[in-house]
Amino acid sequence: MNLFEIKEKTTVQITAMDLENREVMKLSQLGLRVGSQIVVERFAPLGGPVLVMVESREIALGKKLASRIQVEKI
Amino acid sequence: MKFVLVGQPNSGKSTLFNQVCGYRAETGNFTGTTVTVTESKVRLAGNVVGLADLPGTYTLAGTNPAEQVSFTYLTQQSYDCIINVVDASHLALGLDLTLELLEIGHPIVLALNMMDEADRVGIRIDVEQLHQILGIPVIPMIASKGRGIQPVFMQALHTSQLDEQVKRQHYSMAVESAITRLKDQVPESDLNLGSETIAIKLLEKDQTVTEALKAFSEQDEIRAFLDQGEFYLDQERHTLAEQIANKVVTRGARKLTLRDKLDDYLLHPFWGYIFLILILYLFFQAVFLVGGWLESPLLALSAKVEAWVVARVSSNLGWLRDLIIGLIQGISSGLAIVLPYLLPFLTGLGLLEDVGYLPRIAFMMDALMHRMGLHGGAIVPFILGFGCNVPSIMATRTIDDEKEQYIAAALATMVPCAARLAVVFGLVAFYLGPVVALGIYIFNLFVIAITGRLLARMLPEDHPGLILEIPPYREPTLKAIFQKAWFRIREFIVEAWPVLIIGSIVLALMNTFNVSPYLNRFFKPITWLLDLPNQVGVPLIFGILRKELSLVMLGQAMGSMDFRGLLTPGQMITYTVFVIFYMPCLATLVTLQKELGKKAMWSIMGMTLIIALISALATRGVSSLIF
Repeated sequence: MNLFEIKEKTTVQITAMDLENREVMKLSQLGLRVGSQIVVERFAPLGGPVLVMVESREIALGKKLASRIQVEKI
Repeated sequence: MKFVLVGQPNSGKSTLFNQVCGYRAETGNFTGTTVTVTESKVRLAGNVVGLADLPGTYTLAGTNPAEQVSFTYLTQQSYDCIINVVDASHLALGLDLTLELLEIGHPIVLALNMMDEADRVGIRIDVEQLHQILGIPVIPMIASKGRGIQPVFMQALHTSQLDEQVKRQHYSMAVESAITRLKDQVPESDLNLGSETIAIKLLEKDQTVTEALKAFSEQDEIRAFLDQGEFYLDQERHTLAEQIANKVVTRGARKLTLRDKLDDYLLHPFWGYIFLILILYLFFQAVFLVGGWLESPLLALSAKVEAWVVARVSSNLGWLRDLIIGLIQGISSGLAIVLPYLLPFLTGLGLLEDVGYLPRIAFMMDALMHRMGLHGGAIVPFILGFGCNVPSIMATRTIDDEKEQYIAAALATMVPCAARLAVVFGLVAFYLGPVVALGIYIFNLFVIAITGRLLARMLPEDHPGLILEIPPYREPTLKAIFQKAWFRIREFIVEAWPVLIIGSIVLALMNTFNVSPYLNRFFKPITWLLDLPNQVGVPLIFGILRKELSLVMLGQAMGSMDFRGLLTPGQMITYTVFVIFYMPCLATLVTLQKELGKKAMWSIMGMTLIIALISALATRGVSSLIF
């Protein structure tokens, strides 16, 4: 399942990221890595970004980016 | 003696700098506000200490300008102590950078900032244990409230005098043995780094260091060695940072406060937008209310002073008399027309920034911004643009993609800055009411959106999308907000006001020597097309220097500051719309050329002129139907 298919208020673990190096690095700097546990907090309307929480830090991810991040529920 | 402030974006580094040095650096509750190094001097226990504020950076890898600037500064400049500011509520992430700084080997003090925030989310940190593990002093701090700042600086002073060797942490066997093998072979270089640090940077394939040691790193043997193994140093640092954080952090329950629930309303798919509109509406009402409240008495005072001077100065003085009157008008227009609105506007903007509402606007607007070829992150330069277009174009530096940066910069020049705000409020809101002014702002956003959409279609680019940290809401401190507002107002007083005064004097002399009609004739095609009086040509030319001049000089050109009888409501709106869009001001043009090059500057200039004509013409058409 990708991150954009998850319901709000669900805790998930990142299993894979199909992204360019630059983005993977940027995400990793914010604490989003393969293996990280994140909480899907809310979605912005009209195909807007998803807000996730990782280690008590909130990060907004655009739709295209989020749909390339694979996660599984825990 | 010199200290360097280093920290990740939004760690409160600039807040600390401003607390110590008075307001010199732009701060905001979002990432990437600082892209250059700000230097200052502070007095500390009888010593004068230099202080440099480096741009916020996650690593020193050099993959973006902020990282390059930081790495170059840390390795090339001489300084006595690094003050590493770390956000205590995100210790594991912050330590990433700390571990990298330790490798450089200069004295370091770790300032554990935002202890109150950490406490709020239930995080307790064993400061003593952290100190033991890292081997450097660790001082808790709450920079925004001024707590712990003195101890941090005293410690830095102390540490820099100790001259103790700073030890880095140890990495995996593979990496360590590679470092040992490489470090003895590292040749002499201009890099102000130890051979071990250079070895680490070479293993990481760091561009700056590899480039500086080209001859060495391109030797067959060395290259083969570097290529044989992939050394994932950044990942090792991540893991190590996490391990250290796990050792010293105790997690308690997150204290759910009103602030956490606030987002349920402010980011709600429906109510969020209602609140967004409401907040902006209240903001405008407040600016108008306070501005109008200040403007009327100041205008009356200016008129009195001017009348007094006119009555006293003998008309025999000829052009000298006009010069004096021009001077008085320049001074009074800055005081009575521009400052009254600038003051509440900049204070309000600072408040929204510090509270942390701006990135939330980015979150809400991302879907919309996408249709303009941008992502929500580009909203930051946009919002800064409402203060002044110059920093907003500088902020587009943080956008990696060239085309996206061009679109963002082009659109940012169309954002009505504080100078143009003065025109909108001084002319439209003052005579026609705040609702019409708000209408102009909405129309402005509409035009920007359409332009963005067209540009996005002409310059298609597959951009990945938004990655934006949404910081927690923070209680704004009055001191910080007023300091920030004052910082920006001082810019107006020092840089813009003198230009206003000189412009006003030049115009007065032009009237004396009857030059204006010739210049106005030059603008005749435009004024005719837009159904504006001929006299507006000169104010429009001067408006390129400073947008406020378009209003200030309008008063002089028309012979009165009371525009009621001189311009119809339709003309006021059309003129204002044209002033908003036509051509960025001189300072903005210079910045555009510096950041994006000559070609981009000329194309944006031409584009804005066309957009101004089209939108002003449309305004003329619509307002002729209404009024």
